[in-house]
Amino acid sequence: MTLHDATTNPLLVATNVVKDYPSVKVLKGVNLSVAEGDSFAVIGPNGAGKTTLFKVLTGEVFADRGTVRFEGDDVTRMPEWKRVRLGFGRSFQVARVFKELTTQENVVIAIEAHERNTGRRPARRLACRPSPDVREAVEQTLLEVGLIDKRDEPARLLSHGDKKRLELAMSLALQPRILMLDEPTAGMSPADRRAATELIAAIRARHRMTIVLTEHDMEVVFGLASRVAVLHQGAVIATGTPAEVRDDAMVREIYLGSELIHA
Amino acid sequence: MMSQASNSTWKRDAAIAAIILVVLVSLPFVTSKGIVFIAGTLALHVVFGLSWNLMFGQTGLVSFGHASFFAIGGYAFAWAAKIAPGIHPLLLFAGAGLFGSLVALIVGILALRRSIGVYFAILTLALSQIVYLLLSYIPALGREDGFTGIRRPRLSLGFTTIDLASGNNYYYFMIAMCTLLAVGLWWVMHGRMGRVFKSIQQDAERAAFLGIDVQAYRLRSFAIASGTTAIAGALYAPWLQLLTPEIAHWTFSARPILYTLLGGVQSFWGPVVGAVVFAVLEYGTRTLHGLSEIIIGSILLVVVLAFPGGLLGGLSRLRKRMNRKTIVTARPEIVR
Repeated sequence: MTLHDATTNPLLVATNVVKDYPSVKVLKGVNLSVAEGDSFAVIGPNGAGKTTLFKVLTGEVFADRGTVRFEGDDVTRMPEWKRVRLGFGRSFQVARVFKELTTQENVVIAIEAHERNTGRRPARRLACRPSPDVREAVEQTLLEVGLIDKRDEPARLLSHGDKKRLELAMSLALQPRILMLDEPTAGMSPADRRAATELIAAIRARHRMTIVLTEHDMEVVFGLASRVAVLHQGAVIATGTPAEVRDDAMVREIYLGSELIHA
Repeated sequence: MMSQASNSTWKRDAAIAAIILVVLVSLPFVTSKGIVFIAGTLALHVVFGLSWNLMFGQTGLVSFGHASFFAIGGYAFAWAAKIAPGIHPLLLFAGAGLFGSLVALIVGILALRRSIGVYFAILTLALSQIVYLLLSYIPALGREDGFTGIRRPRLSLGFTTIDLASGNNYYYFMIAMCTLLAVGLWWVMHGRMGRVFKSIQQDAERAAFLGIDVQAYRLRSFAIASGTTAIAGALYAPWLQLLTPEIAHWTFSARPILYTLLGGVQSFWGPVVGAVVFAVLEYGTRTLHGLSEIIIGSILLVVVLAFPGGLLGGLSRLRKRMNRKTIVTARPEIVR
């Protein structure tokens, strides 16, 4: 994706987003534009405001000033569950799944939620168990993320990497238009990290999804991202292709001595 | 497979329910009137406890004022039966339930917007005190003396008419109604809506990020639980033939909480076990004036401290431990 696409066909646009917490100004007028089909990475040092920006974009918290638009519609003050119904999907930094339920039940809940989100009213059934359609979709989703063997395990017993995959499966079940991944490989071993990167890339290719992610690991960023925005002290200081951002003088200065230089 | 799992749950629970029903139905033939009265009241308390646990165990809502809906249902039935004796009793019971749900909806829309957890608990407690005070002041509802002279209705079913005032008819009618309500609650908990409730109980924010309207579902849970309890309260009115404001008191709101903690939060049967154990304790200590509360209280304390998951939680942990032992002894080659 090139800069040109981003200006002609923006899917998610943040304009002058300001967010203060009582003691600290976190976002000081953030602007960014994610085009349809982009794989957009937000990077920046710790405390730059990545997570807060993420929360503002997904609706977990609202911006104090500025606007967030999705497909041209103002969603700045729209609660998260309504944004999800428009086509937002997200994962959390620390995987959040329904721990006391099994892997499979987690996905069932996500797929039944998707049915409701898209307004498809399933035929009134007396049976308590999920409909055949839902069970089929659950099976497909579990196969895709490689959790089919662990379907009956309580989610709390899954490994860290598997929880991340389950969370991804739940996001995928919603068939989002834009998938927001908050540090998708945080806390993973290098091998898991590579596997997760490949999984995300494969999913992106298969579902033609727009992806927005924050990430620490530059290898992941350069492996996945088509565009990168650098957040520094609450403002975007550079946007462009990974190569452009890497060669940006200001970015080099901020990241001086960090892994970006030799990435 | 989940389908198999839920299938076996269905069969197991149906079998347990059948055994309980056989016991309840045969009671009038084998025991005294006193025991039958306790059993009938117990059936109502079971529904009371189950509906509270739909909110707590399934949806993660703590209510400290659930008794207010029991009272609302009871008084609504008694009052409507008095001023409009011509209405079919089944309609009156349903109406009392709907009225309870309606009150819950109004309270819920106001209370559930921002207040969750302890705030919701305190709000429901405040609601129950308001209901208690209203019932003690409204002359048409008998004030502190209570609503007296509630008659057991005649139930016309088209092809025949049953006089619920004669013999044990009302007892059987109550058992049938409580069974219906319990089956309804079971169905809600285990179906699509129950899965949404459960996801909210586990992590409301995560559920919201699946596009689930958390507030609307909390409201639904509150309205269903309150409506069910209101019907139980309505059934209670002709059973005792007298209502006092005491059934809206917070001490009565504590009952379903105690049943659930005693029996177990996680299992559908938790509040049932809790209510039965509680009734047995109460009956066993009924002659020990003043000591009764101390004994019941101590036993509750011991159970809650020894089995954090209630009696059923403790039982399932015990069974898991025994299973592990049998696997170890039966197949040493796997464990090595």
